[in-house]
Amino acid sequence: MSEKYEARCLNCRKRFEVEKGAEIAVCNHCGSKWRISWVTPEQPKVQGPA
Amino acid sequence: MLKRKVAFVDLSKEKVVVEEIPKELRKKHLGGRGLNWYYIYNNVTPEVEPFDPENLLVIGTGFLTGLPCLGTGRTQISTKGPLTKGVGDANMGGAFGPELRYAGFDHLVIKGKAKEPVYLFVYNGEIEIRKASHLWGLDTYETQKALKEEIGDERVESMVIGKAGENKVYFANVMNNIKNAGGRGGTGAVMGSKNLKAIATRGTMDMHIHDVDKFIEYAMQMNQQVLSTKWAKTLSRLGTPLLYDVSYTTGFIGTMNWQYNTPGKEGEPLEAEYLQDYIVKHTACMGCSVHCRHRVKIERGEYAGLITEGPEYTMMGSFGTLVGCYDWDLVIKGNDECNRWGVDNLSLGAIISWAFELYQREILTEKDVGFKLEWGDKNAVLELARMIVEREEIGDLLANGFLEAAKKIGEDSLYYAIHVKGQPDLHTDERGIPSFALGIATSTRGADHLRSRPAIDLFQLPEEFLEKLIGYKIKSDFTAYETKGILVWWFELYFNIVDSLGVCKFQSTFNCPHCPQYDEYVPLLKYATGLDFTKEELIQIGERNYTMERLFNIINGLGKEHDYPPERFFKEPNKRGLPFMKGRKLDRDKYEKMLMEYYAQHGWDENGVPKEETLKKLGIEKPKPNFPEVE
Repeated sequence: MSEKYEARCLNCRKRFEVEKGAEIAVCNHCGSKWRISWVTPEQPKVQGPA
Repeated sequence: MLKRKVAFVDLSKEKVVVEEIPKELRKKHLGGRGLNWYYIYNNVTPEVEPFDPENLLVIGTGFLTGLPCLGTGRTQISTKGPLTKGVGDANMGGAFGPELRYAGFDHLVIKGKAKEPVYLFVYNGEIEIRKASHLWGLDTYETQKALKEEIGDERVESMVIGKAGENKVYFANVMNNIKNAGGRGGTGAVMGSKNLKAIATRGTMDMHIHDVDKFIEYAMQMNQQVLSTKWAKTLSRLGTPLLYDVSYTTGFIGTMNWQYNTPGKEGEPLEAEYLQDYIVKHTACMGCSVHCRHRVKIERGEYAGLITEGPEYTMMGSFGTLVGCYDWDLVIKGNDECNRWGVDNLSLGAIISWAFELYQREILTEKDVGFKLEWGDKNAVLELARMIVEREEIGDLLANGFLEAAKKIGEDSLYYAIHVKGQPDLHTDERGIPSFALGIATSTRGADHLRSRPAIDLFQLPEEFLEKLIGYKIKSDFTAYETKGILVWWFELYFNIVDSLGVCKFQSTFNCPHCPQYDEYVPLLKYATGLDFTKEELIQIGERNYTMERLFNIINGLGKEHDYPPERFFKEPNKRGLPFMKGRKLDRDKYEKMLMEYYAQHGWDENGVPKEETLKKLGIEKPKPNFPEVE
């Protein structure tokens, strides 16, 4: 099972899960799709809309 | 730490009087911003104009400046400012403030005007007024280099003005090292008006920390608390450009002079991640463990070979979204020019983008400007910036800020000028975020994001958490108006304490609710100074200091009518952004209620004037001049 981390969704402001190293992720609360960058190998961040 | 000195410098009489800062003043105002405004409130009367010799320029270090904790490299520069004719105030990072303290001084209260250009040299308890005609005309980098060579000490730290300050551009700043700016309020212009090119300092004096062991242990604990946050980790990698990603994606970034609230997809090249290609290394202010400052190099293209520091988020609007340019090369190049000129890039960008929109609307023409001002034309941006700093042709008019320039261009043009009290706004677009809008409107130094911005409002934190943090019930929804008057009040007081202690806002609860605040400042102050403060006393000091600034503005004609965000934010809805941001604009009735809630929380009347009982509670009396007589 892959490792998962959290980022904050800019649309609904809730935290959603991101798979380790993912470049794209979808918020499981509101369905928004984001491009993801990694501040550290353990800390994802929404970079912009996908 | 208590036997610290203030120097009263009269440049006209070429005299200096040194006094010890009384303990009672520390208990009432702490230091930094708080004490700066104590001196100005008591000594600058309303008939004094910003460029009159009688105006004061006060340099203040925070009560914790120069100590190894929470980014305490801060210096406060305060004056009656040319843009607002009220509070002119700037907070600068770097290493100048710490060095001034090591040289024995916490505050320099400067008045008068030198007959010819001079600089002050502050060294281990002594202050000399030295000739500076040979430095006049040098840019801020050259001036600092010349001072180090002339004094013969590489460790000299200086705060200097560049061409903008010499030319009294109303939004000229003061600079330390490459990119540390006392950016706002036109303090550099006032310094120029006094023929004061620089203050250079070097010190090796003991700070006399009250309990060194306990202080160091607790300070390290605080630094670890900050470094463990996601905020600090992100900041130390991306710097303040990290803010771009959230603002342009959500839709609260002024674009093409706030005609739009985001560039949308067109703005993608300015995402923070793309700055990584330019970064050579990260550096920091003194006393900082976060290291948010980039040193960058442009490897290719028109500006290849340029090595500089920054840019910050402000510049991404000024030479970015506000003028329709989405090119890191231009942002970096423009940032370097602004730093050399010693000009507030935030204000400069807002003035330039205003001119571009006036050109778009044919209020200004090619004949007025000398060339076309078309969105996205980077050469036009750089050339107009240069003309403003040089006060050349139309630049001479724009160098006096919105209010003065509009007297000649036409009062109707002010609708397109995004400012409060005459001070240009950061490129944030506040019309969808009521707490941000109230914050820029009530800021004592005019439109500004660093006097009260409750950035954590955007996180929509749980209301139970907010109540614990703020001490009042605060709505979690950042598009709400109710309770946001209280939130802004809380941050106004809190940021005042941050500035009066000289700690970095990026290591406060500004953008991160888990960073240290009042509860942690109490032991830090105890171990550093030996003075006991309670959290409640610190909050009251914040209220006292803020109310003195408010009174200074009121005495100088800035009242309730100046506590409103730009009219455009009430009239034109957001055109772009995420679905919940589109169509938003400020609601006038709701704003008015929020303003009243805010006044009431401060203990001010319905016109925003502090009530007698409030002044009595805070121990604020009528101004009493106390600048020592010098012969």
